[in-house]
Amino acid sequence: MISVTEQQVRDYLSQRLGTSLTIKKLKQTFPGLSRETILVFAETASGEAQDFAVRLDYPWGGSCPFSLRHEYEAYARLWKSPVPVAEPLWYDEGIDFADGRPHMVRRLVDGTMAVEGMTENSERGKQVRRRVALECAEKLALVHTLDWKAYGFDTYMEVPADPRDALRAELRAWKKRWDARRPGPFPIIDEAVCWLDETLPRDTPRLSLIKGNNGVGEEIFRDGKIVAMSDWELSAIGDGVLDLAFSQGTLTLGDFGETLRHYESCVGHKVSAERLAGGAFVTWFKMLVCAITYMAKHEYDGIDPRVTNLSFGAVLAKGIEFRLGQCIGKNLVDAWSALTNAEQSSYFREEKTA
Amino acid sequence: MNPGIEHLVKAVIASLESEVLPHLDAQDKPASNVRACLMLLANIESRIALEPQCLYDDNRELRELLRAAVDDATALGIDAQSREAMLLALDRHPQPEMFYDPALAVQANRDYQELLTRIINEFPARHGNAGQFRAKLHRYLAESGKREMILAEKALGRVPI
Repeated sequence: MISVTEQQVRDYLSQRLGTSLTIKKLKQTFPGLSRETILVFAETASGEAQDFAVRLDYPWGGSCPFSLRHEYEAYARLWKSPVPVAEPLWYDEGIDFADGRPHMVRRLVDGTMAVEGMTENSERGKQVRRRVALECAEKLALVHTLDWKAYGFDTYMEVPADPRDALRAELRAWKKRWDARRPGPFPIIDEAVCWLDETLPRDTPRLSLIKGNNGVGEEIFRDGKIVAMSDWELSAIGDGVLDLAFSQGTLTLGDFGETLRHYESCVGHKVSAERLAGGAFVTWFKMLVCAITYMAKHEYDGIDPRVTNLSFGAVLAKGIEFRLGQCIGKNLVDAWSALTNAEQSSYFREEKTA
Repeated sequence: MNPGIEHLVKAVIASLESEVLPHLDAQDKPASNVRACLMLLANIESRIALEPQCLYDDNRELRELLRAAVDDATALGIDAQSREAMLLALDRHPQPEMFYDPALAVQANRDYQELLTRIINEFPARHGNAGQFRAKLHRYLAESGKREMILAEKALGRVPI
């Protein structure tokens, strides 16, 4: 199911790196919803191990609002910053390799996405989860306090005019994408956006680089610490609270209050309940835009044959729509509070004990 | 003998669950694809059983809501041309209880929802003078969301990844 052959990868990497490589193994990462990522385990003629990640658009394109170039530009800038990322090597498109598809190559980092002991149903497991949550919060704070202007993120990312309206600016940017691409009428979603535009808070203290897509499964850990933050395809400049909302359950692995206080002490300001609620709702809207107009719509249009993407837009999105439908018109914080008790880490699996 | 559609769907689900999925690596794409298929099949099962009633209820409520918008067009800032289009759409489709063809009920639902989406996006006056209409709109959306959830609930218990 890998879209390029081992020989093609070998020849390409050898040519670009100027050294002859032998491929020991290719492995496609899972689930690869928006793009294809191939882990390349190779060695040079002298037996030195050289491992890479090759990330490509699928033959039908990427299932994401931003180009692969957008993601690469984030890596290129972050590599020079205190934020840990894998070393980006190059981006290219329009060449023979992979039929001209956009692709980027980065070095593979020694580490894993899984954290040992995290799914244990034990006191040890509980402590591992707590430390993972705190570590993720700490790294997000590092991202959110980065001087994005100094690293040139504003040369290719839109910058909201007023930090206080950062959440509203994000909502409106995604509403444009929604209006341009929605495959039919969704009155719940459209009225929810109107309600949010009226009720989102205006107390964002600063504009931050936001990762856009984070949590266990998106970061690389070694010895309990994040050694590389991966998947920057939804990165933008806005309110860092959006990353707290899109942690895919990671920040609630431990006590959320303790995790939030740790984040606040690292980032240097308090996070109001209004911002947390607003961030959650804007994030749910963004998830709907991705699931319906970038994943399922490609299947409706005969562009992307994958049934998984269809299931996201046709079924999973209904759960989010239902939540929004129950909240529209209500006090933002009250509505969010009533819903968040149901939020559980999507990465928790009960481990069978031996 | 012609087995019912529900029986056929159940048979496919059972086969995928017991004869295909156990032989696949859970963390690989073929298994994910099968789980996605199972999710869609569970959705189909629910829709076969429950969609006709949900569609009936939705169409009935949408007609009431659109009729309220037509009656209160001035307060909502709806121009005459748009009001006329709404009336035509309401007249084009019969009352919900008169539908014999499920496909026509689906088409009516889509047309009503498009009109409602237009009202939401194009007539901001509904926020100001039309507080009553907005309250009706929110009540409808909450109920509509519940109906969608009824159709999706069984499928949501299955996650592709």
